[in-house]
Amino acid sequence: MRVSERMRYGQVEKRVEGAKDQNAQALDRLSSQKEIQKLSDNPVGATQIIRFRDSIEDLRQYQKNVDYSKGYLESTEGALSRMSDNLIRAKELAISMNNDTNDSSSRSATGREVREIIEEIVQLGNSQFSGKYVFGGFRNQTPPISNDGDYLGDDGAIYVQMSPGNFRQVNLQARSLFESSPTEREKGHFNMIHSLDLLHEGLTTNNKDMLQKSLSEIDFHLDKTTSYQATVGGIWNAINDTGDRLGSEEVLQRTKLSKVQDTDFYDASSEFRRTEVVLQGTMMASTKLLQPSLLNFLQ
Amino acid sequence: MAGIFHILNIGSESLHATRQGVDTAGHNIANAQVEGYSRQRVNIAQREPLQKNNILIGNGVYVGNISRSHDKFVENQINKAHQNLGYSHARSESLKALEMVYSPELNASVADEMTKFFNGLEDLSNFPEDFTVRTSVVESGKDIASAFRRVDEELNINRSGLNERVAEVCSDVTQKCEEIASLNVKIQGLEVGQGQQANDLRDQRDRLLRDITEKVEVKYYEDQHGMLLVRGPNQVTLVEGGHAAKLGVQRSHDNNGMYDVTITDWESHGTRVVTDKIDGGALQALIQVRDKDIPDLRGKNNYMAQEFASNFNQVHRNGFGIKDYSEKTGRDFFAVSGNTDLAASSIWVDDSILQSNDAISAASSPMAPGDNINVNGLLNLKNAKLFGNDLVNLNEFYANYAGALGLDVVRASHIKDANNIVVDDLIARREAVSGVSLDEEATNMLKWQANFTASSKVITTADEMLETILSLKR
Repeated sequence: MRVSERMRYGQVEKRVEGAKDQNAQALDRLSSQKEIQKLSDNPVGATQIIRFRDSIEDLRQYQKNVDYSKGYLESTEGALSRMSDNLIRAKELAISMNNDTNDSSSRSATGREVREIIEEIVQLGNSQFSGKYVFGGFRNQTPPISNDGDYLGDDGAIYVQMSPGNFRQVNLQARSLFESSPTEREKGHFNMIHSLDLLHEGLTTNNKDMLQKSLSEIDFHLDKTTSYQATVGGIWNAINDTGDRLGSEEVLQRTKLSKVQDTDFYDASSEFRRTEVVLQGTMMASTKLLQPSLLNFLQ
Repeated sequence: MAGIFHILNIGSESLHATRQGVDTAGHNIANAQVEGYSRQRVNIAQREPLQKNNILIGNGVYVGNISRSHDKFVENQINKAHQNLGYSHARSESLKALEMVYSPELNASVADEMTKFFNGLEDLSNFPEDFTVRTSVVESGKDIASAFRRVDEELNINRSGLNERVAEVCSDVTQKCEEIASLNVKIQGLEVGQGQQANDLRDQRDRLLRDITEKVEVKYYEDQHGMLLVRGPNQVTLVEGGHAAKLGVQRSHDNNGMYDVTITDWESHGTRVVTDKIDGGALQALIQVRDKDIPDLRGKNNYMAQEFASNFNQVHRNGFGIKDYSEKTGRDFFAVSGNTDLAASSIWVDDSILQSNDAISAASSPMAPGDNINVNGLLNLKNAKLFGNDLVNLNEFYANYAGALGLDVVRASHIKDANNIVVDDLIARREAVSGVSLDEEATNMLKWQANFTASSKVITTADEMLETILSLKR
C-alpha cells in the first residue's frame, strides 16, 4: 500500500488522540471517584443509582420517624409509670387510713397528701412531648385533662410511617384511661381522678365507707394503668426492632449504591498507570515514525 | 535523415517535459497536506515518428496531459459513508447534550426533589402543627415544581438550539451548492475541447460535495460536459450546471414556530417544504431529535408533573388545615394547568398554600391540629403505582425514562463509532491512491533532474555539432 504523508500524520494524530482520551478518562475516573457521571456511562447503573439514592433517603427518614416515635412512647411510658407510682401511693394511704387506729385529724392530714397526688396525676395526664400533649389524641395543643379530671381530648390515633405502606400507631387513645366507659359506669366505676376525689373526700369527712369504695376503685385504675404501660412497652419494643432493621437495611443499600457508583480505587489507578504508559509509548513511537524521509538523505 | 535542428527540437522538448516533471513534483509537495488533494502525474508520450526515406525516425517526447490519481469508486463510497456518519454523529452529539439534563450527578433532579419533598411530608406527619415544618413543606413543594420546570426549560433550550443548527446547516449547504455551481462553469470552460482535466478545481468540487453529503442526503452524477448534477431530498435538483437551488428555512405554523426546511429553485422561485422528506445526513438527525426525541421527553416530564400534581391534589382536597383553615377543606396543594402539554411549565404551589402554610391539609377531621391521617394518605402516594399504566411509582417512572435516554445515547454513540471506522478506512484507501508521499516526490525530482541534465547535454551536443559544421566552411 502506498503510504502518503497525510496518512502518516493522520495516523499519528489519531493514535495520540486515542491514547490521550483513554488517559483523560482514566484520570477522570480516578479523581472524581465516580464510576458513573453521565447516564450514558452506564444507563442501567444510572437508574439503579436513582433508586438506591431514593430508598436510602427514605430509610434515613424512617429511622428519624422511629426515633421520634420512640421519644413519643418513652414520654408516654414515663408519665404512665409515675401515674401508677402515685396510684400505688394513694392505695397505700387508703389501706393504712382504713385502719381504725387512725382518727379524723390524721385522716384529714393524709387528705392533703391525696390532694397533691391528684394534682400530680392531672399534671402527668397533661404530659407533653415536643410541645404536644401525648394523651390528647388529635387535640394535642390544649391540655386533655381538666383540673376536675374530665377528659377533653379526642380519640385520634396518630400513625407514623415505618416503611412503605406500613404505619404504626404511636399514641394511646387515652379516653378510657381517664374516663370510665358507659359499661364501666353501669358497674359503678368512676373516672380515675374522681376515684381519688372519693378517697380525698372520705379522708376529710372521715367516712370509712367512702374509703373502702375508693380503695377498690384505685385498684381498678391501677390495673388499667399497668395494662396500658404494658401496651406502650410492647409497641416500643416492636418499633425499636424496626429501627434496627432499618439501620442495617440502610447499610446494605449504601453498599449496593457504592458498588454501582464508586470507583474501585486500585482498578482505577492501575488503569490510569496503564494508559499513561500507552500515551508515552505512542508519543515516542510517533516521533520515530515522523522523522525519516528520503529528503533527509539527499544532498 | 533529419537535420541537426531536429536534434535541437528533441532536446528542447525533452527539457520542457522534464521541467514539467519537476514542476508537478513541486506542486505535489506543496499540496501534500491539503485535504482532498489528489496527487498529479505528468503523462509524457512519444511523438509520432517522422518518415524519411522509408525510415521511421523517433520524434522526441511531448507532455500529453497532467492527470490526477483519483479513484471514483472509493470517492462514491466515502460520500455514502459520510451520509451515515453525518447522521449518527449529529444524533449522538444532540442526545449527549440532552443527557446532561438528567445527569445522576445532579442533586436537584426531579427524583431527588421528590425524595426530599416526601421526607418533608414525613416530618409533617410527625409534627402536623409545627410552623417550621409546614414552611419547609411549602419550600420543598416549590423545589419539586422548579425541578419539573427546569427539565422542561432545558429541553426547550436544547430544542431551539437544534432549530438554529438546522438553519445553519441549510445555509451552509446552500453556500456549498453555489460554489459547486460556479466550479461547474469554470471546469467546463477550462476543459472544453482540449481533452484536459481541471484537476485542482475538480478536487475542490469533490471536497465540497463530500461536505454536503455529510449534511444532507444527495444523489449526483457528472454530465457529458463534466458538470456535476446534484439532487437533494425528495429528488429535488440542488445544482444543475451553473445554477444552484437554495436550501432554506421558514417558521412552521403547526410546530411551535420551529423551522421547516425548504428548497427554492432558481427558475420559478417556487418554494417547497421538504422537512418530512429528508432522509440521511446531519439534517435528518437534527430534525429527528428536535421533533421526536425532545418532544417525547417533554411529554414524559409533563405527564409525570400532571399525574403527580393531580393525584396529590385529590388526596389533599380531602383534608383540613390548622388555625384559620381548621374547618375548611377542598384546597389544592399544587396549581397546574389542565393542559398536559403545559403541565411541567405551569406547575407551582397553589396560591392558598403560598398565602398561609396553615392551609396545608394534614388533618382528616376539622379542628384537630394533631391529626396526621391525611398526610399519611399523601405519603402513600410516593410508592403508589400510578404511572405507566399503573405499573410503576413516581421514582421508578423517572428512573426508567431517564435510563431509556441513557441507552439511546449509548446506542447512538456506538453507531457513530462504527461509522467512523468505516469512513476512516475509506479515507485511508483514498489516501493510498491520491495522497502525496514525499519520498516518492523526492525520487521523482531526482529522476526528472537527471533527465533534465541529460536533455541539456543533448542541446549542447547539437550546438557543438552545428559549430563543427559551420567551421567546415573556413
